[in-house]
Amino acid sequence: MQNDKVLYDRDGFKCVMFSIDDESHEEKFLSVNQYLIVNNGEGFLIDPGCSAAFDDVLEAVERHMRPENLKYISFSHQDPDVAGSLAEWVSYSSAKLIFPAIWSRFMEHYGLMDSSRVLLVPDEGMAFEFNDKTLHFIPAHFLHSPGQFTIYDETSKVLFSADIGAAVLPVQEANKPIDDFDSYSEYLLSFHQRFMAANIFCKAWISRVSKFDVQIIAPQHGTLLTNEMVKQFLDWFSELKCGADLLGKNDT
Amino acid sequence: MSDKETLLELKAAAKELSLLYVEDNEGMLKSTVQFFQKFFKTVVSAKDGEEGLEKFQQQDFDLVITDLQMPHMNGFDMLEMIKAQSPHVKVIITSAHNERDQLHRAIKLGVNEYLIKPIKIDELTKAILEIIHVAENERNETVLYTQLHRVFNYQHNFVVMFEREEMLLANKNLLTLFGVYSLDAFKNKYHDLGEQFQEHDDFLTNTKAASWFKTISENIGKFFHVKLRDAQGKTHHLIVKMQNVPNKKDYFILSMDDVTELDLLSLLDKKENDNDVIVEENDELYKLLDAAAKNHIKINVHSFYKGLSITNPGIILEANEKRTILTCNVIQLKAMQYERNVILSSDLFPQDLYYASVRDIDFQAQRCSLSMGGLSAENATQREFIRIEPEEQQTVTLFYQNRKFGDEMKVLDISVKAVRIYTRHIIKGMENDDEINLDMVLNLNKRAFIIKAKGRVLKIIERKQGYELVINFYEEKRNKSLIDYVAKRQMALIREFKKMENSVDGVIYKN
Repeated sequence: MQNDKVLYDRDGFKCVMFSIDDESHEEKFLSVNQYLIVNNGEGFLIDPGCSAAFDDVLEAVERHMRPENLKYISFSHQDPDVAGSLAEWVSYSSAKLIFPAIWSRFMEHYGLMDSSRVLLVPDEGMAFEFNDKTLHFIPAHFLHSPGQFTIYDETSKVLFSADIGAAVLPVQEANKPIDDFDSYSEYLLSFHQRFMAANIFCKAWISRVSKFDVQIIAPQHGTLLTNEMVKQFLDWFSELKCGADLLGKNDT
Repeated sequence: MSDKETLLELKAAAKELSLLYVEDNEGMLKSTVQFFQKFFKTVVSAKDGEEGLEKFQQQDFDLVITDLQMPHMNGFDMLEMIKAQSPHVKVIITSAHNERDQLHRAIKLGVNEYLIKPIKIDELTKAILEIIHVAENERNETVLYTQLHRVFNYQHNFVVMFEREEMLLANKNLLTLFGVYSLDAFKNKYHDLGEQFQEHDDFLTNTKAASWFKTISENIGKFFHVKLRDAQGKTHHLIVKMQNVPNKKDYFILSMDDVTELDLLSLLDKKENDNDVIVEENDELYKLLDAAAKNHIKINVHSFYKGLSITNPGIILEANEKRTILTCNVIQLKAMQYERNVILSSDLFPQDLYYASVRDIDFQAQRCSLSMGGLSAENATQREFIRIEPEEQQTVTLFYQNRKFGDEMKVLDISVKAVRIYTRHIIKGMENDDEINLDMVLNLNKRAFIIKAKGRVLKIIERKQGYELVINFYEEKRNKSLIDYVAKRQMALIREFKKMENSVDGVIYKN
């Protein structure tokens, strides 16, 4: 099934969103998005997904570039729906793998013992030159994973936000554009309250992100946040009480 | 009055410094302390030498400003005690007298400035500023030479200290290389160090994408090659590395080792470098390894467990003609213990180093001894794709020109792109580039993976007993079962290796 959504395509530089695999639970639907950046024929794949999605994601990559030109695969955090296909990608491609420094000890559990194929993102994040374009690895610690990063692409102005902005949608709402943020935020709320560690981390991330001109927020689950929804989401997220903020007396 | 700019400069320079001000004139003491408090982080006052000494012993000061004629203990007696205790503390004397004896005593005590009362504010601020700059330079030099001592302990070394992109200090070796006597003279003549770096394959230079400084400062600790011409026009090959200065933000130390004598430029030149023979051990190689050891260079240590690549960083501790001592983590030592050979790679080396022998593995000290090493252009680290050995339980059937072969044949290793097959008997008529069909049944944890593949013969190699066929798979169609098998076999090998790694006695022997 072809679910490719082109987010940007200009002068040999392209950002594409795939929505392959879903985690369905009764009436709720958590789509899993993978993203590919193509710069003059060379590829940078973001959060490629679980092992079962490998074939479809590879096919999707092939629709936009020669897969042997895949240079980097980044894993924003260690969840199986992000990194579960690491062993397949390691076997199939010669791309360098990028993941948070603190998860480097886990890489063997996903199928890699060769540190020379790995680029580690330090806790403070980093600016990364993908050929002639810059990608900013922005720390998003504890949102939800410690060491997690989000990626801002200067060229397309897309912020690949990993689990931030993820929505659990009713089946009938999946893949629909968002008309009204307030009603959409209902689908964001329970996921973010449960998975994000505390508001202090939301604010820290927003303060880092606010330095950049974000046009699109591209989460690992759910719908893209575009135009005025970007600001509305960031405002909502900066005030969100979540995780430790919601601990009751009986929880400690 | 002192001009505003000087006062602002003093405010910036003194904001982290502490001052002890000793003066017996109470009116002057009070007003001057108020003035100093606008600039210094801490200002402590004392009304005579005795109190001044007492205050000095209670805390550290960067600067002491003192009168001379005071009751109980005069300024000189106090300063003698203070200088004995802290010889590097900076001192300004303020005195109504300028007799020769007093000036002489002040010089002997190492006083930095002697001001005659009545003191003008601009005179005092300028004197303080000058002393702060002297102290800063002294600190920088101390940092530089501490670093020098720690990082570089052999003679052919060039060292430069930077604050951001600005060269702050350069050692004598570097200035001599460029035929100048001071850093200012270097800057006047050459402007920027990076402008002297010449182009060579993958060497550090200014490029359109980034300046040399940006490239190296974003890769702290990584080694780069540099080619430059000295004042006499002679070409030098240097290995350079940037390091942070501990606790000093935006300060960097650039160290450059001259390896011209090793004559590696032609080896490092990609266009000329297509040889695949193992270079004989030689003195130059050990000089290079010795340089790596003395600079604590981080290298990559590669081992292969049934094709599974196990790579971790390591450091060469010692190198001579007989052996190379290496330190690396326990996982890597276990892998080396199994394979009994190892490959080392680094940006520093013109090619990877292959060692045929690994001995004296000490897990507690995390070190081992390597021998029989040499440069090797073609080895497993050059593999673009993971190539793993299957389990013994397998069958392979090969179809060639409508004939079927399978007896005494097995898959030695396989990747998503190619397979290496052992056959006891030569297949008559088979040549490179001939088309082959393969049916392989590879077992993995009692599950059979059926892999059908088509490809062409890349090469046929004669071995002592039999032959090896390398077959490249066709690329038009992705082989899902093959990718699945390689990924799962890789995971299984990791588990197998980890099980051995965690074994009670920790001893692994091949065969």
